[in-house]
Amino acid sequence: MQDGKYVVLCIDDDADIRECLQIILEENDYIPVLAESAEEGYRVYEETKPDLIIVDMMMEIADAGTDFTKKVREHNKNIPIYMLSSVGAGLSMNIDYNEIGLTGILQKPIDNDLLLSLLTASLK
Amino acid sequence: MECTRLNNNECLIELYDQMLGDTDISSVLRVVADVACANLKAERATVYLVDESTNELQSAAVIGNVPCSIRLPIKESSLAGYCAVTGRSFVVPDAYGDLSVIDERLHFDRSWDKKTKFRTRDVMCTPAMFKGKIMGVIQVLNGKDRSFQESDLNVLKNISHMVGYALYHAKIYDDLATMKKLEMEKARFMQIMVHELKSPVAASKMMTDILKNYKNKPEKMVSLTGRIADRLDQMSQLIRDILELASVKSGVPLGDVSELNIVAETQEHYKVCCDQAKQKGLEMSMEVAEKELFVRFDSQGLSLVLSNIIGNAVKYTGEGSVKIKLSRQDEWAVIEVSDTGIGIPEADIPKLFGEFYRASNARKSNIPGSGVGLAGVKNIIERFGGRLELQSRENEGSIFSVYLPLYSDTWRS
Repeated sequence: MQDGKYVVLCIDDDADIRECLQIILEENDYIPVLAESAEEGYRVYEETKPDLIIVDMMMEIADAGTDFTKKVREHNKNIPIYMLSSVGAGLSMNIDYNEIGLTGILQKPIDNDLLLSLLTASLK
Repeated sequence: MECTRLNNNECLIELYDQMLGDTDISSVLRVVADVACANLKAERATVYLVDESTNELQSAAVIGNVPCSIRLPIKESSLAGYCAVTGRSFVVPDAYGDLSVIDERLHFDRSWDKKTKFRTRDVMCTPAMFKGKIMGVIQVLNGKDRSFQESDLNVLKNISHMVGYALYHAKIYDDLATMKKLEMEKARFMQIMVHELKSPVAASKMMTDILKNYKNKPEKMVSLTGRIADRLDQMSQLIRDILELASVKSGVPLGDVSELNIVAETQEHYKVCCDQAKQKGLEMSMEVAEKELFVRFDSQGLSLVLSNIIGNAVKYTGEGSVKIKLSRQDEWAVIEVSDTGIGIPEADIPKLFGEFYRASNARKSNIPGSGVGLAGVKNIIERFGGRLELQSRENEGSIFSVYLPLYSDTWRS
Protein backbone atom coordinates (compact mmCIF):
# COMPACT_ATOMS: atom_id res chain seq x y z
CA MET A 1 0.00 0.00 0.00
CA GLN A 2 0.99 3.61 -0.47
CA ASP A 3 -0.60 6.53 1.33
CA GLY A 4 -3.38 4.22 2.51
CA LYS A 5 -4.25 3.09 -1.01
CA TYR A 6 -3.74 -0.29 -2.65
CA VAL A 7 -1.16 -0.47 -5.44
CA VAL A 8 -2.22 -2.38 -8.56
CA LEU A 9 0.35 -3.33 -11.21
CA CYS A 10 -1.13 -3.46 -14.76
CA ILE A 11 0.93 -5.09 -17.50
CA ASP A 12 -0.36 -4.92 -21.09
CA ASP A 13 1.34 -4.09 -24.39
CA ASP A 14 -1.77 -2.16 -25.54
CA ALA A 15 -1.43 1.51 -24.58
CA ASP A 16 -5.19 2.12 -24.73
CA ILE A 17 -5.95 -0.78 -22.36
CA ARG A 18 -3.29 0.52 -19.95
CA GLU A 19 -4.83 4.00 -20.02
CA CYS A 20 -8.35 2.64 -19.40
CA LEU A 21 -7.14 0.62 -16.42
CA GLN A 22 -5.30 3.66 -15.09
CA ILE A 23 -8.46 5.80 -15.24
CA ILE A 24 -10.66 3.12 -13.63
CA LEU A 25 -8.18 2.51 -10.81
CA GLU A 26 -7.42 6.17 -10.09
CA GLU A 27 -11.12 7.07 -10.05
CA ASN A 28 -11.75 4.32 -7.49
CA ASP A 29 -8.92 5.19 -5.12
CA TYR A 30 -6.32 2.70 -6.22
CA ILE A 31 -2.76 3.53 -7.26
CA PRO A 32 -2.04 2.09 -10.73
CA VAL A 33 1.52 1.32 -11.82
CA LEU A 34 1.93 0.38 -15.47
CA ALA A 35 4.23 -1.71 -17.65
CA GLU A 36 4.10 -2.62 -21.35
CA SER A 37 5.90 -5.95 -21.36
CA ALA A 38 6.47 -8.92 -19.06
CA GLU A 39 10.14 -7.97 -18.79
CA GLU A 40 9.36 -4.40 -17.74
CA GLY A 41 6.51 -5.69 -15.57
CA TYR A 42 8.86 -7.83 -13.49
CA ARG A 43 11.20 -4.90 -12.96
CA VAL A 44 8.31 -2.66 -11.83
CA TYR A 45 6.98 -5.47 -9.62
CA GLU A 46 10.29 -5.70 -7.74
CA GLU A 47 10.56 -1.92 -7.40
CA THR A 48 6.99 -1.11 -6.29
CA LYS A 49 5.89 -4.26 -4.39
CA PRO A 50 2.23 -3.99 -5.55
CA ASP A 51 -0.76 -5.46 -3.72
CA LEU A 52 -2.34 -7.02 -6.81
CA ILE A 53 -1.27 -7.72 -10.40
CA ILE A 54 -3.26 -7.64 -13.65
CA VAL A 55 -1.24 -9.09 -16.55
CA ASP A 56 -2.10 -9.66 -20.22
CA MET A 57 -1.69 -13.22 -21.52
CA MET A 58 -0.21 -12.49 -24.96
CA MET A 59 2.39 -9.75 -25.22
CA GLU A 60 5.89 -9.84 -26.71
CA ILE A 61 5.55 -13.64 -26.93
CA ALA A 62 2.47 -15.81 -26.80
CA ASP A 63 3.00 -17.07 -23.22
CA ALA A 64 4.42 -13.85 -21.79
CA GLY A 65 1.70 -13.59 -19.14
CA THR A 66 1.97 -17.18 -17.88
CA ASP A 67 5.77 -17.01 -17.81
CA PHE A 68 5.59 -13.79 -15.80
CA THR A 69 3.14 -15.34 -13.34
CA LYS A 70 5.30 -18.41 -12.78
CA LYS A 71 8.30 -16.19 -12.14
CA VAL A 72 6.45 -14.12 -9.52
CA ARG A 73 5.09 -17.26 -7.85
CA GLU A 74 8.59 -18.59 -7.29
CA HIS A 75 8.96 -15.97 -4.55
CA ASN A 76 5.45 -14.81 -3.75
CA LYS A 77 2.64 -17.32 -3.26
CA ASN A 78 0.11 -14.82 -1.88
CA ILE A 79 -0.22 -11.83 -4.18
CA PRO A 80 -3.44 -11.98 -6.23
CA ILE A 81 -2.68 -12.23 -9.96
CA TYR A 82 -5.39 -11.88 -12.63
CA MET A 83 -4.67 -12.65 -16.25
CA LEU A 84 -6.26 -10.74 -19.14
CA SER A 85 -7.30 -12.86 -22.10
CA SER A 86 -8.49 -11.97 -25.64
CA VAL A 87 -8.85 -15.48 -26.99
CA GLY A 88 -12.11 -16.42 -25.32
CA ALA A 89 -13.02 -18.63 -22.39
CA GLY A 90 -12.89 -21.83 -24.46
CA LEU A 91 -9.32 -21.40 -25.63
CA SER A 92 -8.09 -20.03 -22.36
CA MET A 93 -9.34 -23.22 -20.68
CA ASN A 94 -6.09 -24.73 -21.93
CA ILE A 95 -4.51 -22.86 -19.02
CA ASP A 96 -4.45 -24.66 -15.68
CA TYR A 97 -5.12 -21.88 -13.15
CA ASN A 98 -3.73 -23.82 -10.22
CA GLU A 99 -0.60 -24.99 -11.95
CA ILE A 100 0.39 -21.47 -12.91
CA GLY A 101 -0.81 -19.88 -9.69
CA LEU A 102 -3.44 -17.52 -11.09
CA THR A 103 -6.18 -16.09 -8.95
CA GLY A 104 -8.46 -15.71 -11.97
CA ILE A 105 -8.84 -14.83 -15.65
CA LEU A 106 -10.56 -11.72 -17.00
CA GLN A 107 -11.81 -11.61 -20.57
CA LYS A 108 -11.22 -8.46 -22.59
CA PRO A 109 -12.97 -6.04 -22.82
CA ILE A 110 -12.81 -5.81 -19.04
CA ASP A 111 -16.13 -4.95 -17.45
CA ASN A 112 -15.72 -1.97 -15.11
CA ASP A 113 -18.03 -3.31 -12.35
CA LEU A 114 -16.59 -6.84 -12.50
CA LEU A 115 -13.06 -5.51 -12.15
CA LEU A 116 -13.97 -3.34 -9.14
CA SER A 117 -15.77 -6.22 -7.40
CA LEU A 118 -12.78 -8.53 -7.91
CA LEU A 119 -10.42 -5.91 -6.51
CA THR A 120 -12.64 -5.49 -3.48
CA ALA A 121 -12.90 -9.24 -2.93
CA SER A 122 -9.15 -9.77 -3.27
CA LEU A 123 -7.92 -6.80 -1.28
CA LYS A 124 -10.46 -5.46 1.14
CA MET B 1 18.89 -50.59 -57.83
CA GLU B 2 21.20 -52.34 -60.30
CA CYS B 3 19.13 -52.63 -63.44
CA THR B 4 22.11 -53.72 -65.46
CA ARG B 5 21.89 -57.08 -63.75
CA LEU B 6 18.31 -57.62 -64.79
CA ASN B 7 16.53 -57.66 -68.12
CA ASN B 8 14.06 -54.90 -68.92
CA ASN B 9 10.91 -56.65 -67.64
CA GLU B 10 12.51 -57.70 -64.35
CA CYS B 11 13.84 -54.21 -63.95
CA LEU B 12 10.42 -52.70 -64.49
CA ILE B 13 8.72 -55.10 -62.07
CA GLU B 14 11.26 -54.32 -59.37
CA LEU B 15 10.87 -50.61 -60.05
CA TYR B 16 7.09 -51.01 -59.79
CA ASP B 17 7.39 -52.74 -56.40
CA GLN B 18 9.69 -50.08 -55.08
CA MET B 19 7.49 -47.22 -56.29
CA LEU B 20 4.29 -48.60 -54.81
CA GLY B 21 5.99 -49.31 -51.48
CA ASP B 22 7.19 -45.76 -51.12
CA THR B 23 4.87 -42.86 -50.35
CA ASP B 24 7.47 -40.10 -50.44
CA ILE B 25 7.27 -38.40 -53.85
CA SER B 26 10.87 -37.18 -53.86
CA SER B 27 12.20 -40.61 -53.06
CA VAL B 28 10.06 -42.26 -55.78
CA LEU B 29 11.21 -39.82 -58.42
CA ARG B 30 14.86 -40.17 -57.51
CA VAL B 31 14.54 -43.91 -58.09
CA VAL B 32 12.83 -43.30 -61.43
CA ALA B 33 15.53 -40.90 -62.63
CA ASP B 34 18.23 -43.30 -61.47
CA VAL B 35 16.63 -46.30 -63.20
CA ALA B 36 16.00 -44.36 -66.40
CA CYS B 37 19.60 -43.16 -66.51
CA ALA B 38 21.12 -46.55 -65.70
CA ASN B 39 18.85 -48.66 -67.86
CA LEU B 40 19.13 -46.42 -70.90
CA LYS B 41 22.82 -45.69 -70.30
CA ALA B 42 22.22 -41.95 -70.39
CA GLU B 43 24.45 -39.17 -69.09
CA ARG B 44 21.57 -37.20 -67.60
CA ALA B 45 17.98 -37.79 -66.55
CA THR B 46 15.47 -35.31 -65.20
CA VAL B 47 11.96 -35.93 -63.91
CA TYR B 48 9.74 -32.85 -64.09
CA LEU B 49 6.43 -32.38 -62.31
CA VAL B 50 3.64 -30.11 -63.51
CA ASP B 51 3.03 -27.15 -61.19
CA GLU B 52 -0.55 -26.21 -62.01
CA SER B 53 -0.53 -22.98 -60.00
CA THR B 54 2.21 -21.46 -62.19
CA ASN B 55 1.70 -23.58 -65.35
CA GLU B 56 5.33 -24.66 -65.26
CA LEU B 57 7.42 -27.81 -65.14
CA GLN B 58 9.51 -28.02 -61.98
CA SER B 59 12.45 -30.42 -61.83
CA ALA B 60 11.82 -32.90 -59.02
CA ALA B 61 14.69 -35.37 -59.47
CA VAL B 62 17.91 -35.13 -61.47
CA ILE B 63 20.75 -37.48 -62.25
CA GLY B 64 23.88 -36.00 -63.76
CA ASN B 65 25.41 -32.57 -63.39
CA VAL B 66 22.38 -30.28 -63.67
CA PRO B 67 21.36 -27.14 -61.75
CA CYS B 68 19.60 -27.93 -58.52
CA SER B 69 16.30 -26.54 -59.66
CA ILE B 70 14.91 -25.96 -63.14
CA ARG B 71 11.58 -24.32 -63.90
CA LEU B 72 10.26 -24.30 -67.46
CA PRO B 73 7.01 -22.85 -68.76
CA ILE B 74 4.64 -25.41 -70.27
CA LYS B 75 5.16 -24.12 -73.79
CA GLU B 76 6.86 -25.35 -76.95
CA SER B 77 9.90 -23.19 -76.13
CA SER B 78 11.76 -26.21 -74.67
CA LEU B 79 11.78 -29.95 -75.41
CA ALA B 80 10.25 -30.89 -72.07
CA GLY B 81 7.72 -28.06 -72.41
CA TYR B 82 6.72 -29.31 -75.87
CA CYS B 83 6.28 -32.81 -74.45
CA ALA B 84 4.01 -31.45 -71.68
CA VAL B 85 1.90 -29.43 -74.16
CA THR B 86 1.48 -32.14 -76.79
CA GLY B 87 1.68 -35.33 -74.70
CA ARG B 88 4.04 -36.76 -77.36
CA SER B 89 7.00 -39.00 -76.69
CA PHE B 90 9.93 -38.47 -79.04
CA VAL B 91 13.61 -39.02 -79.73
CA VAL B 92 15.76 -36.11 -80.92
CA PRO B 93 18.95 -37.55 -82.47
CA ASP B 94 20.74 -34.18 -82.46
CA ALA B 95 19.46 -31.31 -80.30
CA TYR B 96 21.45 -28.78 -82.33
CA GLY B 97 20.19 -30.15 -85.65
CA ASP B 98 17.02 -29.47 -87.66
CA LEU B 99 14.16 -30.29 -85.29
CA SER B 100 11.44 -29.26 -87.74
CA VAL B 101 11.63 -32.75 -89.30
CA ILE B 102 10.03 -34.03 -86.08
CA ASP B 103 7.71 -31.06 -85.51
CA GLU B 104 7.93 -27.43 -86.60
CA ARG B 105 7.10 -26.31 -83.08
CA LEU B 106 9.97 -28.23 -81.50
CA HIS B 107 12.68 -26.00 -80.07
CA PHE B 108 15.85 -26.71 -78.06
CA ASP B 109 16.98 -24.03 -75.62
CA ARG B 110 20.80 -23.89 -75.88
CA SER B 111 21.11 -21.45 -72.96
CA TRP B 112 20.93 -24.35 -70.47
CA ASP B 113 23.98 -25.97 -72.06
CA LYS B 114 25.83 -22.69 -71.73
CA LYS B 115 24.85 -22.31 -68.09
CA THR B 116 25.79 -25.86 -67.13
CA LYS B 117 28.80 -26.16 -69.51
CA PHE B 118 27.28 -29.26 -71.11
CA ARG B 119 26.82 -30.23 -74.76
CA THR B 120 23.45 -31.89 -75.37
CA ARG B 121 23.46 -34.37 -78.24
CA ASP B 122 20.53 -36.76 -78.29
CA VAL B 123 17.41 -36.42 -76.14
CA MET B 124 14.35 -38.50 -75.30
CA CYS B 125 11.19 -37.17 -73.68
CA THR B 126 8.01 -38.85 -72.56
CA PRO B 127 5.06 -37.60 -70.50
CA ALA B 128 4.06 -39.25 -67.22
CA MET B 129 0.28 -39.52 -67.26
CA PHE B 130 -2.49 -40.75 -65.03
CA LYS B 131 -6.06 -41.12 -66.26
CA GLY B 132 -5.33 -38.98 -69.31
CA LYS B 133 -3.80 -36.13 -67.30
CA ILE B 134 -0.15 -35.17 -67.79
CA MET B 135 1.47 -35.08 -64.35
CA GLY B 136 5.09 -34.72 -65.41
CA VAL B 137 7.78 -35.34 -68.01
CA ILE B 138 10.78 -37.69 -67.98
CA GLN B 139 13.72 -36.51 -70.04
CA VAL B 140 17.03 -38.32 -70.66
CA LEU B 141 20.05 -36.87 -72.45
CA ASN B 142 23.08 -38.25 -74.30
CA GLY B 143 23.28 -42.00 -74.71
CA LYS B 144 26.73 -43.10 -73.47
CA ASP B 145 27.38 -46.08 -75.76
CA ARG B 146 25.25 -45.02 -78.71
CA SER B 147 22.54 -42.53 -79.64
CA PHE B 148 19.02 -43.24 -78.43
CA GLN B 149 16.83 -45.39 -80.69
CA GLU B 150 13.06 -45.86 -80.91
CA SER B 151 13.45 -49.09 -78.88
CA ASP B 152 14.93 -47.01 -76.04
CA LEU B 153 11.89 -44.74 -76.19
CA ASN B 154 9.67 -47.79 -75.59
CA VAL B 155 11.60 -48.57 -72.39
CA LEU B 156 11.22 -44.95 -71.26
CA LYS B 157 7.49 -45.06 -72.01
CA ASN B 158 7.10 -48.21 -69.90
CA ILE B 159 8.79 -46.46 -66.99
CA SER B 160 6.60 -43.37 -67.41
CA HIS B 161 3.38 -45.44 -67.39
CA MET B 162 4.16 -46.57 -63.87
CA VAL B 163 5.40 -43.15 -62.79
CA GLY B 164 2.00 -41.57 -63.41
CA TYR B 165 0.31 -44.11 -61.15
CA ALA B 166 3.00 -43.91 -58.46
CA LEU B 167 2.82 -40.10 -58.48
CA TYR B 168 -0.92 -40.19 -57.94
CA HIS B 169 -0.49 -42.76 -55.16
CA ALA B 170 2.28 -40.85 -53.38
CA LYS B 171 0.41 -37.56 -53.81
CA ILE B 172 -2.56 -38.90 -51.87
CA TYR B 173 -0.35 -39.72 -48.88
CA ASP B 174 1.45 -36.42 -49.21
CA ASP B 175 -1.87 -34.54 -49.31
CA LEU B 176 -3.10 -36.32 -46.17
CA ALA B 177 0.08 -35.52 -44.23
CA THR B 178 -0.06 -31.92 -45.46
CA MET B 179 -3.73 -31.64 -44.44
CA LYS B 180 -2.92 -32.68 -40.89
CA LYS B 181 -0.08 -30.17 -40.67
CA LEU B 182 -2.28 -27.47 -42.19
CA GLU B 183 -5.04 -28.14 -39.63
CA MET B 184 -2.57 -27.50 -36.81
CA GLU B 185 -1.25 -24.37 -38.50
CA LYS B 186 -4.81 -23.18 -39.10
CA ALA B 187 -5.67 -23.59 -35.40
CA ARG B 188 -2.61 -21.60 -34.37
CA PHE B 189 -3.34 -18.95 -37.03
CA MET B 190 -6.96 -18.67 -35.81
CA GLN B 191 -5.87 -18.18 -32.20
CA ILE B 192 -3.49 -15.40 -33.11
CA MET B 193 -5.97 -13.84 -35.53
CA VAL B 194 -8.73 -13.78 -32.89
CA HIS B 195 -6.35 -12.07 -30.48
CA GLU B 196 -5.30 -9.50 -33.07
CA LEU B 197 -8.89 -8.72 -34.12
CA LYS B 198 -10.21 -8.67 -30.58
CA SER B 199 -7.54 -6.24 -29.36
CA PRO B 200 -8.87 -3.13 -31.14
CA VAL B 201 -12.48 -4.16 -30.37
CA ALA B 202 -11.74 -4.68 -26.66
CA ALA B 203 -9.78 -1.44 -26.38
CA SER B 204 -12.54 0.54 -28.17
CA LYS B 205 -15.23 -0.97 -25.92
CA MET B 206 -13.27 -0.15 -22.77
CA MET B 207 -12.72 3.43 -23.94
CA THR B 208 -16.44 3.92 -24.68
CA ASP B 209 -17.26 2.53 -21.21
CA ILE B 210 -14.82 5.02 -19.68
CA LEU B 211 -16.60 7.83 -21.54
CA LYS B 212 -19.95 6.58 -20.20
CA ASN B 213 -18.90 5.90 -16.59
CA TYR B 214 -16.43 8.67 -15.89
CA LYS B 215 -18.05 11.83 -17.23
CA ASN B 216 -16.07 13.94 -14.77
CA LYS B 217 -13.04 13.67 -17.07
CA PRO B 218 -14.05 15.89 -20.02
CA GLU B 219 -10.42 16.48 -20.95
CA LYS B 220 -10.18 12.82 -21.86
CA MET B 221 -13.19 12.83 -24.18
CA VAL B 222 -11.53 14.26 -27.26
CA SER B 223 -8.45 12.11 -26.83
CA LEU B 224 -10.39 8.91 -26.22
CA THR B 225 -12.89 9.43 -29.05
CA GLY B 226 -9.98 10.05 -31.44
CA ARG B 227 -8.29 6.88 -30.29
CA ILE B 228 -11.48 4.86 -30.67
CA ALA B 229 -11.63 5.99 -34.29
CA ASP B 230 -7.95 5.05 -34.76
CA ARG B 231 -8.49 1.56 -33.34
CA LEU B 232 -11.47 0.97 -35.61
CA ASP B 233 -9.42 2.08 -38.64
CA GLN B 234 -6.69 -0.28 -37.48
CA MET B 235 -9.18 -3.12 -37.34
CA SER B 236 -10.48 -2.38 -40.84
CA GLN B 237 -6.94 -2.43 -42.22
CA LEU B 238 -6.18 -5.62 -40.33
CA ILE B 239 -9.24 -7.34 -41.79
CA ARG B 240 -8.16 -6.29 -45.30
CA ASP B 241 -4.64 -7.59 -44.66
CA ILE B 242 -5.96 -10.88 -43.30
CA LEU B 243 -8.19 -11.38 -46.34
CA GLU B 244 -5.22 -10.68 -48.59
CA LEU B 245 -3.04 -13.13 -46.67
CA ALA B 246 -5.77 -15.76 -46.88
CA SER B 247 -5.86 -15.30 -50.66
CA VAL B 248 -2.10 -15.63 -50.87
CA LYS B 249 -2.04 -18.74 -48.67
CA SER B 250 -4.77 -20.40 -50.74
CA GLY B 251 -2.13 -20.95 -53.42
CA VAL B 252 -4.35 -19.54 -56.16
CA PRO B 253 -2.55 -16.72 -58.00
CA LEU B 254 -3.99 -13.28 -57.21
CA GLY B 255 -3.78 -12.26 -60.87
CA ASP B 256 -2.72 -13.62 -64.27
CA VAL B 257 0.59 -15.48 -64.36
CA SER B 258 2.64 -14.11 -67.21
CA GLU B 259 6.05 -12.76 -68.17
CA LEU B 260 6.53 -9.40 -66.46
CA ASN B 261 9.24 -6.77 -66.82
CA ILE B 262 10.08 -6.05 -63.18
CA VAL B 263 11.88 -2.83 -64.16
CA ALA B 264 8.64 -1.30 -65.46
CA GLU B 265 6.61 -2.72 -62.55
CA THR B 266 9.06 -1.38 -59.94
CA GLN B 267 9.10 2.06 -61.57
CA GLU B 268 5.33 2.33 -61.10
CA HIS B 269 5.59 1.62 -57.38
CA TYR B 270 8.62 3.87 -57.09
CA LYS B 271 6.60 6.83 -58.45
CA VAL B 272 3.81 6.23 -55.91
CA CYS B 273 6.21 5.95 -52.97
CA CYS B 274 8.21 9.01 -54.11
CA ASP B 275 5.31 11.27 -53.12
CA GLN B 276 5.08 9.71 -49.67
CA ALA B 277 8.85 9.90 -49.22
CA LYS B 278 8.89 13.56 -50.29
CA GLN B 279 6.27 14.43 -47.67
CA LYS B 280 8.56 12.94 -45.02
CA GLY B 281 11.64 14.73 -46.40
CA LEU B 282 13.31 11.48 -47.45
CA GLU B 283 15.70 11.12 -50.36
CA MET B 284 14.48 8.42 -52.74
CA SER B 285 16.36 6.93 -55.70
CA MET B 286 16.19 4.02 -58.15
CA GLU B 287 19.14 2.49 -59.99
CA VAL B 288 18.54 0.20 -62.95
CA ALA B 289 21.29 -1.82 -64.65
CA GLU B 290 19.12 -2.95 -67.59
CA LYS B 291 15.88 -1.64 -69.12
CA GLU B 292 14.27 -5.07 -69.13
CA LEU B 293 14.41 -7.92 -66.66
CA PHE B 294 11.69 -10.45 -67.33
CA VAL B 295 10.34 -12.89 -64.74
CA ARG B 296 7.35 -15.19 -64.84
CA PHE B 297 5.06 -14.05 -62.03
CA ASP B 298 1.55 -13.36 -60.90
CA SER B 299 0.77 -9.71 -61.77
CA GLN B 300 -1.14 -8.77 -58.64
CA GLY B 301 1.22 -10.83 -56.48
CA LEU B 302 4.20 -8.85 -57.79
CA SER B 303 2.35 -5.63 -57.03
CA LEU B 304 1.80 -6.87 -53.47
CA VAL B 305 5.50 -7.72 -53.08
CA LEU B 306 6.69 -4.34 -54.36
CA SER B 307 4.13 -2.25 -52.44
CA ASN B 308 5.01 -4.05 -49.20
CA ILE B 309 8.80 -3.95 -49.52
CA ILE B 310 9.07 -0.40 -50.88
CA GLY B 311 6.16 0.89 -48.78
CA ASN B 312 7.69 -0.52 -45.56
CA ALA B 313 11.04 1.10 -46.34
CA VAL B 314 9.37 4.53 -46.59
CA LYS B 315 7.05 3.87 -43.62
CA TYR B 316 9.80 2.86 -41.19
CA THR B 317 12.30 5.56 -42.19
CA GLY B 318 12.04 8.85 -40.31
CA GLU B 319 15.00 10.56 -41.94
CA GLY B 320 17.61 9.77 -44.56
CA SER B 321 16.99 7.77 -47.70
CA VAL B 322 15.36 4.84 -49.46
CA LYS B 323 17.23 3.33 -52.40
CA ILE B 324 15.98 0.77 -54.92
CA LYS B 325 18.40 -1.15 -57.11
CA LEU B 326 17.51 -3.60 -59.91
CA SER B 327 20.11 -5.89 -61.41
CA ARG B 328 20.81 -9.27 -62.98
CA GLN B 329 22.91 -11.81 -61.02
CA ASP B 330 23.49 -15.04 -62.97
CA GLU B 331 20.03 -16.55 -63.52
CA TRP B 332 18.35 -14.16 -61.06
CA ALA B 333 16.62 -10.81 -61.31
CA VAL B 334 17.37 -8.96 -58.07
CA ILE B 335 15.32 -6.15 -56.51
CA GLU B 336 17.18 -4.58 -53.60
CA VAL B 337 15.47 -2.00 -51.35
CA SER B 338 17.64 -0.35 -48.71
CA ASP B 339 16.71 2.30 -46.14
CA THR B 340 18.16 4.27 -43.24
CA GLY B 341 15.17 3.55 -41.02
CA ILE B 342 14.58 2.03 -37.60
CA GLY B 343 16.04 -1.33 -38.62
CA ILE B 344 15.16 -4.62 -37.01
CA PRO B 345 16.57 -5.97 -33.71
CA GLU B 346 18.69 -9.06 -34.28
CA ALA B 347 16.46 -11.24 -32.09
CA ASP B 348 13.41 -10.39 -34.22
CA ILE B 349 14.91 -11.15 -37.64
CA PRO B 350 14.32 -14.95 -37.67
CA LYS B 351 10.64 -14.40 -36.74
CA LEU B 352 9.91 -11.42 -38.95
CA PHE B 353 8.15 -13.37 -41.71
CA GLY B 354 5.77 -15.09 -39.29
CA GLU B 355 2.09 -14.16 -39.47
CA PHE B 356 1.13 -11.15 -37.30
CA TYR B 357 4.71 -10.78 -36.11
CA ARG B 358 6.03 -7.24 -35.71
CA ALA B 359 9.54 -6.42 -34.56
CA SER B 360 9.68 -5.14 -30.97
CA ASN B 361 10.82 -1.65 -31.99
CA ALA B 362 8.05 -1.39 -34.59
CA ARG B 363 5.43 -2.33 -32.00
CA LYS B 364 6.73 0.31 -29.59
CA SER B 365 6.83 3.00 -32.27
CA ASN B 366 3.65 4.84 -33.23
CA ILE B 367 3.90 3.45 -36.75
CA PRO B 368 0.78 1.38 -37.51
CA GLY B 369 1.11 -2.10 -38.95
CA SER B 370 -0.58 -5.48 -38.79
CA GLY B 371 2.42 -7.79 -39.07
CA VAL B 372 0.68 -9.66 -41.89
CA GLY B 373 2.27 -8.23 -45.03
CA LEU B 374 5.71 -9.85 -45.02
CA ALA B 375 4.31 -13.36 -44.41
CA GLY B 376 2.29 -13.09 -47.62
CA VAL B 377 5.20 -11.53 -49.54
CA LYS B 378 7.56 -14.39 -48.66
CA ASN B 379 4.90 -16.95 -49.56
CA ILE B 380 4.35 -15.52 -53.04
CA ILE B 381 8.05 -15.09 -53.82
CA GLU B 382 8.90 -18.66 -52.85
CA ARG B 383 5.94 -20.06 -54.79
CA PHE B 384 7.53 -18.74 -57.98
CA GLY B 385 10.94 -20.18 -57.20
CA GLY B 386 12.39 -17.00 -55.69
CA ARG B 387 13.78 -16.07 -52.30
CA LEU B 388 13.72 -13.08 -49.94
CA GLU B 389 16.82 -12.06 -47.98
CA LEU B 390 17.17 -9.52 -45.21
CA GLN B 391 20.07 -7.66 -43.65
CA SER B 392 19.33 -5.19 -40.92
CA ARG B 393 20.72 -3.32 -37.93
CA GLU B 394 18.54 -1.66 -35.33
CA ASN B 395 18.58 2.16 -35.68
CA GLU B 396 20.70 1.96 -38.84
CA GLY B 397 18.38 0.57 -41.48
CA SER B 398 17.54 -2.51 -43.52
CA ILE B 399 18.19 -4.09 -46.91
CA PHE B 400 15.51 -6.36 -48.37
CA SER B 401 16.66 -8.33 -51.43
CA VAL B 402 14.17 -10.16 -53.63
CA TYR B 403 15.63 -12.80 -55.96
CA LEU B 404 13.37 -13.97 -58.80
CA PRO B 405 14.30 -16.53 -61.49
CA LEU B 406 14.88 -14.76 -64.80
CA TYR B 407 12.61 -15.77 -67.63
CA SER B 408 14.84 -16.97 -70.46
CA ASP B 409 14.93 -14.72 -73.55
CA THR B 410 14.38 -17.80 -75.74
CA TRP B 411 11.06 -18.55 -74.03
CA ARG B 412 9.60 -15.14 -74.81
CA SER B 413 7.61 -15.23 -78.03
